[in-house]
Amino acid sequence: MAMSIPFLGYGLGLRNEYYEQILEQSPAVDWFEVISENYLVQGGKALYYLDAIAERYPLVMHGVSLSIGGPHALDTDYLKQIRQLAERIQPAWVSDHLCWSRGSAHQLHDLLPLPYTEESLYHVAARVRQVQDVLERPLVLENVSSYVRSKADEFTEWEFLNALAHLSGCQLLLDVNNVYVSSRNHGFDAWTFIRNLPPQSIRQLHLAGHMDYGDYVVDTHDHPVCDPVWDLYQQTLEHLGPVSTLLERADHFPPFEELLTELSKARELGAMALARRSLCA
Amino acid sequence: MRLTDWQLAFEQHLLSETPVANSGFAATLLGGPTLDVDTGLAIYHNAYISVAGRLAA
Repeated sequence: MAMSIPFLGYGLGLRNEYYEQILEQSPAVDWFEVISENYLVQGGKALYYLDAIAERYPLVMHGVSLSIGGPHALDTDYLKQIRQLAERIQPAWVSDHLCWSRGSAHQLHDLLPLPYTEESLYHVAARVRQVQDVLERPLVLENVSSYVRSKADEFTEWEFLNALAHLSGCQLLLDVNNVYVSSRNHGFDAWTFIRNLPPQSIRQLHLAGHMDYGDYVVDTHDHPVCDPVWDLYQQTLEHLGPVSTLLERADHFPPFEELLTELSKARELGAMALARRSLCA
Repeated sequence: MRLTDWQLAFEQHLLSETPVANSGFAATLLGGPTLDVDTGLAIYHNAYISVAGRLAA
C-alpha cells in the first residue's frame, strides 16, 4: 500500500472548548486532529462546528476505541460509522492506537499494552487488514505509553511496529512523548526506539506533556511539552525530515492563546531541526 | 500464557476492587528500573476506576 505522505504542517487537537474562537479568529493553525468518537452522532452542535471547521482547515481523524489488539471481534458498526465520518469530512488520514481497550465484556477506557509476541503480531496484522478493507485506506497506528510489559515479549516495541507496518501496510503515528514516557518507565533509550522505526511509514508525530513522578512518568497529556521531549522531537525531525506534527492536549485545557504559543514553539524548533538537516545533507 | 488469557487476566485486574493484582498475573509482567510491576498495574487500575467512576456519576 505504498503512497506518498503529505506534510500538513503544525496542527492542534480540535476541542469543543475552542470551536468559537477557531471560527471567529481563523488562527494560524495548519490543520486540526479530531477525536473520531466525538462526532459519531446524527446531527447536533458538534457536527455543525466540525463541518464549519472542515471547510476552512485540513482535518485528520484520530480514534480512541478501535481496540485493534483486543480479544473481541472488531466492531463492524463502529467501523462503518468511522467510514461514514471519513466520507463526510475527508480527513487526510485516519488513526487510532496500537493497543487494546475492550476486554471480553467491558469497555476498559484505557490504551492497554500488548505483549510483543508473534501471536500478537499476527492477531493485530490480520485485524489491521480488516479495518483497512472497510475504510479503504491505510490505518495509521500510534505507539502508546506503558507502565508494565509482558515477560513473554519476543520483540522490542520498535521491532513490533516495524513488523506490523511490513505485514499489514499500516502507517505509524509516532507519539514522541509516549516514547519518552515508556523509555523512562522501562529503561530503554528513546532515540534507539525512534531511529529504528521505518521512516517511510511515519505519517504523523504527536507532542504532549506528562506527569513526572521522579521514579516513573505518567502520560497525562495535560501539561505543556517538556524540554527532553522537545529535544527528542528535534532529533526526530533531523532524522526523518518534515513530518506533520500535532500538539495534543487531552485535559486541563488552557486558554487557546497558550496552545497557539506552544504550537509556534513547535514550528520554530521544527524549522531549526529541518534547517540543520538540510545543512548536513 | 495465550494472548487472550493474558488479556482476560489484565481485564480482571482492572475490574477488581483492589489495585493490587493477583500474584499469578503479576508474575507474567516486567516493570522497569524504578517502576515496579505493582505500581505499574496500580496506574492502570486507578485510571480505569477514575474513568468508570466519572461515567457512572
